Amino acid sequence: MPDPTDPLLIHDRSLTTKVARGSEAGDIVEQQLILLGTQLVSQLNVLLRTTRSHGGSNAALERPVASIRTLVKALGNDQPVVLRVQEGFVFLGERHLKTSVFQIPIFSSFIDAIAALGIGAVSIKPDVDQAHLRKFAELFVGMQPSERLEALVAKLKDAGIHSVELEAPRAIAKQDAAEGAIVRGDTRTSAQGGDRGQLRQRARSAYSRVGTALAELNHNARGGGTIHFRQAKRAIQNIADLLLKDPATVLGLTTLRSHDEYTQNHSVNVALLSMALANRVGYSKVELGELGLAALFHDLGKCAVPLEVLNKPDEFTAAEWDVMRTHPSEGVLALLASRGLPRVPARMAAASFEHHLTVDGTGYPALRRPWKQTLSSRVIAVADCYDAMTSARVYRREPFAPPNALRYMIGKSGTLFEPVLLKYFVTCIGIIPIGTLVLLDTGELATVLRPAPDKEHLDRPPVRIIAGAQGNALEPAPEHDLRELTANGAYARSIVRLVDNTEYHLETARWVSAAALRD
Amino acid sequence: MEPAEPALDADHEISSARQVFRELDKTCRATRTYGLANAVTKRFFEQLNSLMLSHLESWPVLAVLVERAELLLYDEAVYKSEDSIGDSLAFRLFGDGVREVRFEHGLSPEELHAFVDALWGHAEGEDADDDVVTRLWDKDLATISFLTAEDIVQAPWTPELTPQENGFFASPPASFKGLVEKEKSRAASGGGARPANGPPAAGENLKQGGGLVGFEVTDDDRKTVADELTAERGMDDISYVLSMVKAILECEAAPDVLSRGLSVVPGMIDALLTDGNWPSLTELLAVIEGVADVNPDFEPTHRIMAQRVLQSVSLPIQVGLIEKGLNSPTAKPLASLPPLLSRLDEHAVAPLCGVLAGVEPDEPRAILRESLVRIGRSNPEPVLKGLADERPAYVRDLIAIIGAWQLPQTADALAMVVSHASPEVRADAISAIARVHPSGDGAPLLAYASDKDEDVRQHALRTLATGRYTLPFEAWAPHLTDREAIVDLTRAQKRLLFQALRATAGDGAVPFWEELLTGRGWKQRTKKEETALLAIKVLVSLGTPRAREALDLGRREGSSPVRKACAAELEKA
Repeated sequence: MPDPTDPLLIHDRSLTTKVARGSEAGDIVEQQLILLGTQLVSQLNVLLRTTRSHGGSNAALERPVASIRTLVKALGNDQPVVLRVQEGFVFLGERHLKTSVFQIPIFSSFIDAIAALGIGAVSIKPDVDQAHLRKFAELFVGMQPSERLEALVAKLKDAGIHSVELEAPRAIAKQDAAEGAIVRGDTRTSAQGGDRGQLRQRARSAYSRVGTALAELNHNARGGGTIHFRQAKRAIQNIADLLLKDPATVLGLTTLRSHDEYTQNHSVNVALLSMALANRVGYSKVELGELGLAALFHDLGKCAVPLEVLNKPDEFTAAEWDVMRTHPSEGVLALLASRGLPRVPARMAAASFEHHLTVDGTGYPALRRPWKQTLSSRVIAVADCYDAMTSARVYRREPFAPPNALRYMIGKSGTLFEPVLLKYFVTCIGIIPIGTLVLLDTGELATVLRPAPDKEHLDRPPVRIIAGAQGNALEPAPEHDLRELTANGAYARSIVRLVDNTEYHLETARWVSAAALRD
Repeated sequence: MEPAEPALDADHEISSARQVFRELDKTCRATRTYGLANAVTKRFFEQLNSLMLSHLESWPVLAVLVERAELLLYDEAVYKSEDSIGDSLAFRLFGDGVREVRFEHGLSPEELHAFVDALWGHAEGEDADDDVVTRLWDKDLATISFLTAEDIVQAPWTPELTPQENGFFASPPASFKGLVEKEKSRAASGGGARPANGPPAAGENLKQGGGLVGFEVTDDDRKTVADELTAERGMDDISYVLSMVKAILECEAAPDVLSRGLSVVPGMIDALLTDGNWPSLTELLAVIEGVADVNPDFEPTHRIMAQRVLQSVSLPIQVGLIEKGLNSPTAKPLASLPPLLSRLDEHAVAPLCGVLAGVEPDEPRAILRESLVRIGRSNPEPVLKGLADERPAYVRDLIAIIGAWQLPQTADALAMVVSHASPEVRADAISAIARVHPSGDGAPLLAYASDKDEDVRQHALRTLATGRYTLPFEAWAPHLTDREAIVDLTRAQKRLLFQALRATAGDGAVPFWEELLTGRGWKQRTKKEETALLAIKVLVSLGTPRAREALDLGRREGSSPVRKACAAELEKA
């Protein structure tokens, strides 16, 4: 009879076996990760408890030690596994481990043990051996009440244990200091918005989480598993909150791209751009959340495209294009197969199905009867095209400079894109889009950080000056408001030329992202 | 008025907050037990609302820190669950990672209701897409906000989210001198940023003062998108997804995609059946039926798949889902149900009987009956078996169906309904027997001739008395053994019984009446005479030689009134 308080592999031993064998089965996703994370907490708890009762050499330690090693290997994917305790919550990496009623005693015991020594996180490397785990536990339980984290770190170092590392608790985010203060004695009505630093912090975290959630879902979809949206939904909801408070920060995030993870980053960026555009159009907060989720999964159907085609570095053959062109339909079918008809959000299915359809009826799939795209799909199509054009990717290496991409799209107004939405898009990203490299009349080189803040100065957006008039790189690169006047009332700086950054293979995201993301 | 002492004020605030959360806990408990719409729950909501408003009048914000089993205000517990931790309000929030909750002045009853709904209005595991946090967010509550564990923990910069400088793009150069010189030169020569060809674009006319020329969003534009957004809000999700599936099946050329498209259809059928979405289901089946003619890329295997999909609606599980659909709170109008049922074949008879048994309203029952009338005729057995069921409404429906078939062989099964507890059912069975077996052997009806219910009995006897049925007197005999009981019947009852006897058994029943004419005894003398006189009338109407012999016997051996009556009748004859 299994011990009901010990969740280790009770629910699904086969899963752990599969994980331990390094399986990449598609069903090892969010819930399983949380399950395994919970099991890791449980086994660490057992290890510490047993060591305290029986000493570090007892045979009873074999099981928790072996389990911890298996779990770390499965969870870490060659990276250290970090269990973090913060404000009474347990995190696996950056993921909050949801706690069930049955797990509360185990979590409480673990949290109390960690907190007693002032430890914020335990990091275990995948190569941790049995002896080190046992020794770690021995040192941990041997700590005196007066000793703290630093003492244990020193002892681990002395013992030559490098595969288990400890961290101090993280600082609490600023919004907690501001808003949490209410809980701790200040009951004034909270100010909506918060400062830009807080927002960037949230934006950074949300962007990261939405990307992770998407990667897991894509992985799962490719494996034929069930697709759940909770993690992605929470991240998208955070982004929607941020968008309503500071659209520029969210737009700044879209300049972030990683060449290796094109599809993932592209999808996240499309979600952000779509939400920003939809916000202009008048979507409600909840609708922004729905649209963001739909946009995030607009390329879900690519999970049905063989990886060798998807990641092909050369131009596609006609046959390969045929395969690629099935992804809008495949996305709808994947949602239906995984979630069942009643749980398929129509907006999401439409985003997948319609994002390559066009206003003039061309595009794909090549439908046999007239079809009108939903407004949301048209919004997503605009965002999709813009981000795709401004990104370098495997099957089209040369990206467009942001203004050139915008120019191309405007040229297709009324044929590929909805004219009204393009107008909104221009007002959203600016007539000189975020990330555009510009030459100033001072001879300085700058990049556009945000859309211009007011209608009267649409061609005077905030910029970051990255090089002086002689071409000398500026570090740090100062931010400048092009509306700024000199003493005699003239503009201090003006844009004289839009520069095609792709001609110089220069990615401007470095400076834009810094603005969007730096604390 | 002197400002309150801060410490005292805090004490009051904590005390007031405790009252609020005690009431919130009760409301949550009522919600869990009775549901949100229950009257008891509503009363709790009223009390909670009153307390909350009163608190927020004094202190504009009620913000609490969420611990595992407690809610804290100023480090003081203002809530501790008295129940198990699983039912704890605090744990409900904590478990999903909520760190702080804040209620602000202006809170409306609707928002409070929505808050409780987000917490307890959904069964655990009901929707893997949501948790307390996502549900609270979706409610978009203006005066209730929250912070999550993930919000408050300062995450480090994630290095994988860096500018792409390892592919097409390179790391920035140490100096931009060459770039700046080149661009300055281009600017000096008047060269624009854009290529020589291509349309004018926003941002291009910088030297002319810039602006949004040609890109202003007009009032008409705003109205256009607002209208479209409104239309999208009213979109029926299921219909839209169906239209996409239809389009995919019609247009895709890749065999794999078509196979996948067809393979999701059974699941869709199940979902639509379960939801009672008859219009969409009918439409979907029509699409499957016709798609092979529209898409030239349909291969024989796809045609077979499509055929199997269409046949699958007659399978027991799928037919069984119709019951769920009919009882679904979201069921659509029934106009599209008959076309769906018209697709069922005789294999669906048994499960469709099950559906009929489980549905109460009259309208769908009538539709199901119609369907069973159509498909059950060639496979009547499941319907006949259903006659043994105890539910009167169901059995009456089955009887109606059997009656409509007009299959004589079903009369025996209808005769078995005599043991049913409901007199209405038994009466219906008699009518049905008359319909399916309008003449001949009266045995199926005879079972009801001794029914304990007077109306049923009379119905059976009247039917037997029509003259269309025959029965040997031996068949009647078991029903006539208790002569005292027969004598006890009312005059009308006896008359009807005798008429039925005469109509079915004819001369075979004459010995029975003879016995009534000649029987003697002091007990119930008047009633016996009345019975004998009725027997005389029946014998007269029978009018056969054997009947006259019986009258003659009565004239000779009956009591005085019988003798007189027999003599009179013989004289008339």
